[in-house]
Amino acid sequence: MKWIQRQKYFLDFTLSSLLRRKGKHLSLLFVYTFIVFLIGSVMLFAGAIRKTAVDVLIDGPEMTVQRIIAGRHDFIPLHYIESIQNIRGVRTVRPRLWGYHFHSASGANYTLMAAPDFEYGPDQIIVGAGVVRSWSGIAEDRLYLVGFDGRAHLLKIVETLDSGIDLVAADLILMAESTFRDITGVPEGYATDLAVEIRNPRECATIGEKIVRLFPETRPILKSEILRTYAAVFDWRSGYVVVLLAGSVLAFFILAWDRAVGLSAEERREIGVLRAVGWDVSDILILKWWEGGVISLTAFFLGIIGAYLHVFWASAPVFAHALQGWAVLYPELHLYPDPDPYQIGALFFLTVVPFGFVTLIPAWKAAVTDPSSVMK
Amino acid sequence: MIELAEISKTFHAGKPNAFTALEGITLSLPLGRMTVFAGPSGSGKTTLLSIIGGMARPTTGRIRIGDLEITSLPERFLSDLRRNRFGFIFQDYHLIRGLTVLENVMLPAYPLGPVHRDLKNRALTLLEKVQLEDKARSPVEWLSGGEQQRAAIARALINNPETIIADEPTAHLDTDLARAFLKIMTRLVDGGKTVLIGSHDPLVFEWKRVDRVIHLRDGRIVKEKTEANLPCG
Repeated sequence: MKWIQRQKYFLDFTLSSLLRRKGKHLSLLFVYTFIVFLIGSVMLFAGAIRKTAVDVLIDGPEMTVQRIIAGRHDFIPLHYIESIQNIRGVRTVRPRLWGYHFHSASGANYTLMAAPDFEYGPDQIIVGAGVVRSWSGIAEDRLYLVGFDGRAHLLKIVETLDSGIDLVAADLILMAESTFRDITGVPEGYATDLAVEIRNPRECATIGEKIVRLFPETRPILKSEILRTYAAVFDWRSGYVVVLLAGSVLAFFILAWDRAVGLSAEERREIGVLRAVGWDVSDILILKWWEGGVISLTAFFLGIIGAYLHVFWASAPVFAHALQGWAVLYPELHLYPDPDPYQIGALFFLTVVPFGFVTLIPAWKAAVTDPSSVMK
Repeated sequence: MIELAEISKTFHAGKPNAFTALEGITLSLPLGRMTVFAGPSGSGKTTLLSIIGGMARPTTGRIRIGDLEITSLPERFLSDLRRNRFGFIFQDYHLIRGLTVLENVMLPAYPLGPVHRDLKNRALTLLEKVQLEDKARSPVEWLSGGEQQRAAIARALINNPETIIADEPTAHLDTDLARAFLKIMTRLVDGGKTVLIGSHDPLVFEWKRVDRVIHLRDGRIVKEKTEANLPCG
């Protein structure tokens, strides 16, 4: 009971001490909160964008088989399908037709794809939300694309994809197989690649080896590898942004260090008075621990809450372009919270704990000196 | 009894700016008396009071308070000593600005963790004794010099110490306020407290209820005057 009452007294004194020097403490709180906000935003954004990628790709094929000729991606013959289908463990093999189309007027690079069982006509298309945003010249839902042979194709937009899958579909134009071949010039009997469904995902690697043995010029790409690539890309980008933020982090540590090495004359005198009237060194350290704790915990929680609102409520306007990476077709993302407790924990230990300690050092130095000297 | 044996204090020892503030002070101070250390500025009064009160350590010599040899006590025991056995009244009062008078008075008791209501009542009683109860909730910086000193007296008494140490307590007071201060100190001595005052103010060391005046100069005792009614010293 006495212990609790002591802590209440110390906390009470801490709060009044913070208020007595509110200019200094508010500026420190502001800078501290801003740093946590910036780093927290990058972390939460990178985590959420990875989750979005995983959510979108999770329904994709376990494996994609491409054909590589002279080190370049080439069309794959459709007769490979039968041989791959016969490999034990393979459930289905579907040919996929897709490619890129640069549209000079909008300066955007679209992804064209032939949708299996496309339910609309040959002059109709389904587009990603980014396509509509990028092309201001869309009139009456019609899109002009110039084919590989120079012929213009007038296509009617019959459907726009949900922006929830923008991360992978912002630039997508879905069409009938015949339309795709007309525009891109991919010959009959060939596909861009093959999507392979496998009964047991743990056998992916073995089946991939068997495919390469059958067709040495092919390259099987596993879904897990794509997910890893996405994770690596977004980790790299978030790391890059954090490096750019290093200047602000450095400024924060300079500020914290300044606080660590120097107490104001008034603060030193105050410590001397408290020691003179009978406070022990440990009492002073508890007081300063509370003081550092109040500032750092307040800054940490304000920063994290700010970062959460910035990323999940405002869709991270500060970092979105840097972290997403699209040149023209920025996906309109609706990010869903997926905070990583380990990352938040790491941020906590990298900011709150060191700050707590740096505030203790000068207080300890003043507290162990004779009160009569400190008070002078 | 507070006993000092061959106390000396050198600041910056071993450095070119070394300065000896006290040299060979040997004294016995009986409890329940009012003793004044008199002397000009720089004579060593403040240093001596700091050493007696456990706020500074002597360079050489020994101090005993009752049965307790405090010279080599670890720091945390000295904190206990300052908290429980001494109450300090500083020349500049050293009240903490921004806190109320009541909060300043309660401050020395915080580490003991008393029940808040009891502590508050105790502090209010002391403020009433120094006629400052109506200023209890005022920030200390709003008080006049005399009022600040009375607040400092109340703070010194909050843990009911047996000895009050006052350093140049009348330096910033006019004659009436200085007399009022001395009357309060007299009441404390009458109540059984020991009062040690460092002062260069004749009003203090000529005060009729002072039991003993010890004159210091250049860190040494140069003269001592003991009232006839003082049994020993």
